[in-house]
Amino acid sequence: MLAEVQGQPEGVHFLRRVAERHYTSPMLLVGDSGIGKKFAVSQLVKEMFCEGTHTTVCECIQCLHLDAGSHPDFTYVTSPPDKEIKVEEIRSIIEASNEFPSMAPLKLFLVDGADNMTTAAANAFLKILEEPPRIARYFLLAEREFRVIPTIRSRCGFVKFQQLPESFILQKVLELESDRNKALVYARMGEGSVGRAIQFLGSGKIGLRDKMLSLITAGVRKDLPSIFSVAASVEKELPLGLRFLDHLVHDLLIVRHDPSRMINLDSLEIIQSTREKMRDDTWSRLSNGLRALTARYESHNINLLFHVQTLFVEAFGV
Amino acid sequence: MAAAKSPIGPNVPFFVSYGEEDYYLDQDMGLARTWGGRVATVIDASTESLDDNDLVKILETPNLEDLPRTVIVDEAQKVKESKGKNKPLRDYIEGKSSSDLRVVLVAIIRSAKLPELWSLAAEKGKLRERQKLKTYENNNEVIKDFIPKHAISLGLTLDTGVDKLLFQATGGNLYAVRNELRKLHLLVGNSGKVTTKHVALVTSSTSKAEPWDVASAAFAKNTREAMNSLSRVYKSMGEEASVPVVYGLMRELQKVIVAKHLLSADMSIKDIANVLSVPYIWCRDTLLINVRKHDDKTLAGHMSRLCKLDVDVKGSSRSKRTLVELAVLSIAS
Repeated sequence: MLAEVQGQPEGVHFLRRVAERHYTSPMLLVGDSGIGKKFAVSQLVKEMFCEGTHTTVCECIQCLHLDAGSHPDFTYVTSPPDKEIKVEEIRSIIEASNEFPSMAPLKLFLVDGADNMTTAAANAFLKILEEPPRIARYFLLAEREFRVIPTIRSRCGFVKFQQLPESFILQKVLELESDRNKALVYARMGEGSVGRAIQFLGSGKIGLRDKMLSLITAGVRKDLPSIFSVAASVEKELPLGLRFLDHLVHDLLIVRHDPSRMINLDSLEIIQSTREKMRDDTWSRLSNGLRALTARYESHNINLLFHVQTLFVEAFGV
Repeated sequence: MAAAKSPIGPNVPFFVSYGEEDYYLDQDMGLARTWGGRVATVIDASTESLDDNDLVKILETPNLEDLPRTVIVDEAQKVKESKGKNKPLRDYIEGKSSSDLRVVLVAIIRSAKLPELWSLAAEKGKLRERQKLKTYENNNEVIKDFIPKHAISLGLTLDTGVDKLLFQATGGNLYAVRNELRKLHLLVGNSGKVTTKHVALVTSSTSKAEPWDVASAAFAKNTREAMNSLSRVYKSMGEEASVPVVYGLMRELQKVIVAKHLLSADMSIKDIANVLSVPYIWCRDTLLINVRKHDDKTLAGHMSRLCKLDVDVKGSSRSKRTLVELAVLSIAS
């Protein structure tokens, strides 16, 4: 139920209007992964379909089907990792949209990855979004608004999901990790996303963070072979490595002023000592170069390994 | 063609020829088409989406004159086998008598591996392996066997070194060798002697180049070769070549810049080769010689330039080729 959704008052407000049938247009929910977009829609669906107690433990036939993922009037479409949503999947939504609901009063469609559709899929979707059938509701989820084609954006009501508060994420991480310091690092690494924090914890991404830290220390030592070999050793994970690099640069810039706000609190000493070994302009160069590189990576299919190596050669003047 | 003279005459019901050397596979197919007193039917399985059911129907349908037939299936590896329990072609092969030559099936398989279904046919008939000749080996068969044999068949005598020169000019492509020998035959006439000068006259210098050829020539500061290789790469790959060429330049620069750094740190050649995981001799005789032609500052500059070029060639820039040419020139000069 929508009351279960935490930290997203604006999103919940809009979704409640959908539940109360004041709002019938398609909705585009935008925000980082793991901040509760999908959860919020699934709670809305329960709220709209439930014929029982309207609680999380309701055992009405609608809620049971929804929990089992077998409700005939709720369709969830997403793409496998690193793949796009194809036109065939959108066509199946269009086909299902023209059928009457079997059990519930409406047919609801959730497309997770509106920013990750093929051009053909996006164009096929447009028509039904423009004139949606009376008995259908559409929810589109996206991480990056600019990647959703403008014609889809203009046909949808727009809801921005906010980053979740640190205390909430920490509480969730602590349910899985008893070490509070470690949990705090993961909570901060999640950057407002509980899903991301838990994913990092589950896959032990501190190892990758450590590699990125060793890349910085190799830069400080002007050890070019190490820069090249460390970067090459994490080549496949470099997109995520860039995020961790950004965290580390953030920490290096604030460690002198407010260490309590650091993300990588467990590496305080090494970050402090690394910070003192280079002048401010080096860290500024690294920070600016990293920002430019991230922007380049988001817009072009660049050779990330070579670009990261170049960033370090330039920033540290190796 | 007299079937008795040929080692691949139709004295068996199945003839299977497989491998990746199209020259010999085409030759086998040509021989099968000319078997005397038979009606030949050629089917291209790659374009006709043939399945085993269709093929068996073709094999079992007699012609009007009821003449002996040869059914030649090109790209036979693409014949789809039925998924159910019924396997018509397998049953046909297994049930065929070795002495029944009314219908001879010739399978031309253009693949390095022999599919299991066709090995079954080969057991009841004849099998020819037609793999590509290993042109990278010294004293290879092209020079030892193919070139002299074809020259003799055209009535040509080859001067010393002609075979090797021809091989270099054609890259071991048997079709190209045959064509060059025909051209030489026209040039020198019957019973003529072919010299290296004749070969230079008839062969064109349009051999293929790879993206890494451009990179190695550029970092060796061999401007002429780098630009020649670049134009050959573009000729063979078209405008698509920009991305692999830039990638090749990046890979070479990574090696050169690390080697330069290690060399400045007085590391031994053996250790440098180890760090870079490259062969010692190549490191000593090629890489380090090239490395000494560059200085640290310029190499760092090339890194920045190649990053920009990487974005340009993958973006919507209109003059990608010019940008790549400029980058190659700036490294090589």
